[in-house]
Amino acid sequence: MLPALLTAMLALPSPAAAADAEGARALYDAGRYGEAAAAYALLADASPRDAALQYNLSNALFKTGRLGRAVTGYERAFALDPRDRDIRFNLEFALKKAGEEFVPPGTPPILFWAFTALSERELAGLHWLAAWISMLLAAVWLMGRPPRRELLETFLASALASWIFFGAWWGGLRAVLPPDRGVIVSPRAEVRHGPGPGFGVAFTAPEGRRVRILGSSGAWLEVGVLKEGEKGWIEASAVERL
Amino acid sequence: MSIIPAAAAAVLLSCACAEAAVTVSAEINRARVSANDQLVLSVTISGDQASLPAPQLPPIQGFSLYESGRSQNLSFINGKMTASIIYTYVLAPRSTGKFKIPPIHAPGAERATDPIDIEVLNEQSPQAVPAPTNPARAAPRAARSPDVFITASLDKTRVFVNQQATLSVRFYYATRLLGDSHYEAPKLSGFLTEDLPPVREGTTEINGRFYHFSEIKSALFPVQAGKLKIGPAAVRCQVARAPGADPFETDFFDRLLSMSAPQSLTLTTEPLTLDVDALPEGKPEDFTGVVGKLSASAEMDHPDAKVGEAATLVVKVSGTGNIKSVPEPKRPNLPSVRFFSSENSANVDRTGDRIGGTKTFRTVLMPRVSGEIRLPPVEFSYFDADTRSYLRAKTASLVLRAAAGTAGSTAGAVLSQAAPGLTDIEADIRYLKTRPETAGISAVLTAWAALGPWHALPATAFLIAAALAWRRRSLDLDPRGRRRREALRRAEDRLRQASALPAEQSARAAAIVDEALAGFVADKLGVAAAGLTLKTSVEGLSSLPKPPSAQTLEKLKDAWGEADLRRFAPGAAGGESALFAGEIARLLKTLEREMRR
Repeated sequence: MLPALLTAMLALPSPAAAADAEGARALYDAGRYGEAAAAYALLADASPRDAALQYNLSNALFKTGRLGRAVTGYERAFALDPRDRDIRFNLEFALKKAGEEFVPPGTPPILFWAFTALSERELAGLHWLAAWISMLLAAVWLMGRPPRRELLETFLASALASWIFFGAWWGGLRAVLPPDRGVIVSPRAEVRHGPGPGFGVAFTAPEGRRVRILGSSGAWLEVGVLKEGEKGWIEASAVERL
Repeated sequence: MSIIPAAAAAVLLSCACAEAAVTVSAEINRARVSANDQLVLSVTISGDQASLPAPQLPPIQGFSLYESGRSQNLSFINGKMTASIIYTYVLAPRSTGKFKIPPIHAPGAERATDPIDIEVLNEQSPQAVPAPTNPARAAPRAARSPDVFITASLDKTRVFVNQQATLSVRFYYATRLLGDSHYEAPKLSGFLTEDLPPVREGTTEINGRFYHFSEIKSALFPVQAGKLKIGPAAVRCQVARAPGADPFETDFFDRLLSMSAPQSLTLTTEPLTLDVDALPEGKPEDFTGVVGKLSASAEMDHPDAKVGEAATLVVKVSGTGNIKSVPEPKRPNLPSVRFFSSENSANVDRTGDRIGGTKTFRTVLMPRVSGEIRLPPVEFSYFDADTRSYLRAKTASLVLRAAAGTAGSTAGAVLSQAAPGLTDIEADIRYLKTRPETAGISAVLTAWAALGPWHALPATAFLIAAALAWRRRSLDLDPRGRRRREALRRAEDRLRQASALPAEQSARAAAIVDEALAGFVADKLGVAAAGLTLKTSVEGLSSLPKPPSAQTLEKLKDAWGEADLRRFAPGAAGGESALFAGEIARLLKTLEREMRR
């Protein structure tokens, strides 16, 4: 457990990865966005938890005109580092191109910012940390007769409150940004009334539009378009899961 | 004239009228028929009486004859009743040649029918020649024409990729349908499809039989070249099983009977194949695969704008083809104009079962400089399947006259007026991240969240603490029980203490052993150790719900006496104190075990 935590704290890119990143950036600067995207994709595959690599990959994809893949990458980068201003800006920019708003309509931006300031994994970590502290303090409280029992009880109450608070926040974030989401990556995605090309087209979804994945049948996914509240079936290849 | 001859004449006249009121006629649905087909003979008996006779059919040479039902009509006109019964027969040819249906008689009819000539041809697919008869009556049911059937057809058998082919599925029925019919569209792979509503309804005559039909059409746009399969379409329906269920029949009782015997049917079409050709070589660079006949137009909503003010460029692409697949035309590269995000809408027209319509692209733009700005034509290429050539649709060139902007005007403010809901956005995304992300508390929290089964550790610690606390609390609430449970442990502590003493303190050791014995028994009995005698101890232990065995009690007596002897006459007893303490410990364990049995 401890080595894992130390590895997490000291995770730095290897010299080879840094050189590859420099090469990818040079390709991007030269306007060879397709090659830059391929290079960043290799780096992002090797370090899937690196928000900067996901961001850079999305930039290159955006420049090649693959709006859906770019939105997917920005969403992943945002999930990893939600407080990064560049990631927020580019995600908002790409979503606008797809006809969607980053901040849900009717939500005060500051509230949305605060609500999404911590990533889901950070909230999960805080939730579990508070759980550990709460249960260990409670064990001490149950077992012995510590000299400063009142102080222990104050800490225990705070830890329990934190546990509940972060747990509720974590659950709320999962409800607002559920994990079973995807992004339309096909330029003209036709959403049909049923899982097959024989069913009529219900509507078309633009590339880059975020959808909720409701179910699947063979090579077809049932999706709900978050913004319009419509739902239908779409070929799985036209959607990339987040 | 006397009254008798007059009455007799009236009776005779009425009899004559009655005889003359029954008529018989016959007709066939076709005069020529192939050897492998059938024809329908309808014999009509009519008259002004309710009980009409049946026809007397003579042998018909060259044909096998089958009865195929009857229908009855009854009507009252001006108080006078008229009745008719149509007897229907199916004639199946037995050989080729020219034949004749002899005159058909009916009892009471004044005259028989005229002979009917029929020619049987030696053909597999005879040319149906309608007989000079009333079609509505002539073909109530032909044995080779099913009551219901389904067909699928394409308007073309060969198209280019992205060119429309229209699939028509027709469901024919000449009988009454019971309940709802369910249509299952064919399975399609390699097509984009557009429905062509509404469902068409109508009637038609096939092989002399009248059918209702429902037709569903779909526009298919193949997305790949090759032989593309169109799977079978299906209709599930229920029809009346009983004869006489023809919806064109008027007999009430036949209709009523037909309602009692539903039959479920699933009808499927044959699979179809569509040959799809790849688009020919010579594609223009900007060609994106649109096939059809298209034209383009453009206009500005504010040709006279100020610098910093928004105007909307509206480009419309109209024509036939899969209009929804028309991509956004490429924007001109004009440094003097700033373009914003655009939106598009498609108005699909299905007139004449051809997909077409208009796709409109609205792009908000804003002049950066004053003066006359010429917007070059917007153009794109498409493929015309009729001429088999690549063509270009092109708008006219537009002029935007930009006046100098007012001081303090900003793009965002103007845009919010010109295009409600549109907010100013930066022209491009932000640049790459050039520095590696530093791992910090976020990484620790992320790693902490991923500990998985390790999260059970604090819960386990908490549960153990809770169990121990509960046990402690239980002991605190039952001091006698606690004393009884801890009797052996306390006695063993004392015995260990006795064993540790040197040999010269054997009297002291014997006293401790004595205390251990007495304390053990006192703890078990819940009494004070002081004053406890051997006799009361044995009696007390014997009276417990689970008393020790008599043998063990005897050993206890011996041990107790030995301890007293060692205590008060150290020289009289032999052996080491440690060995004696060990024997006592074993004895106490035996007692403990027997009392717990």
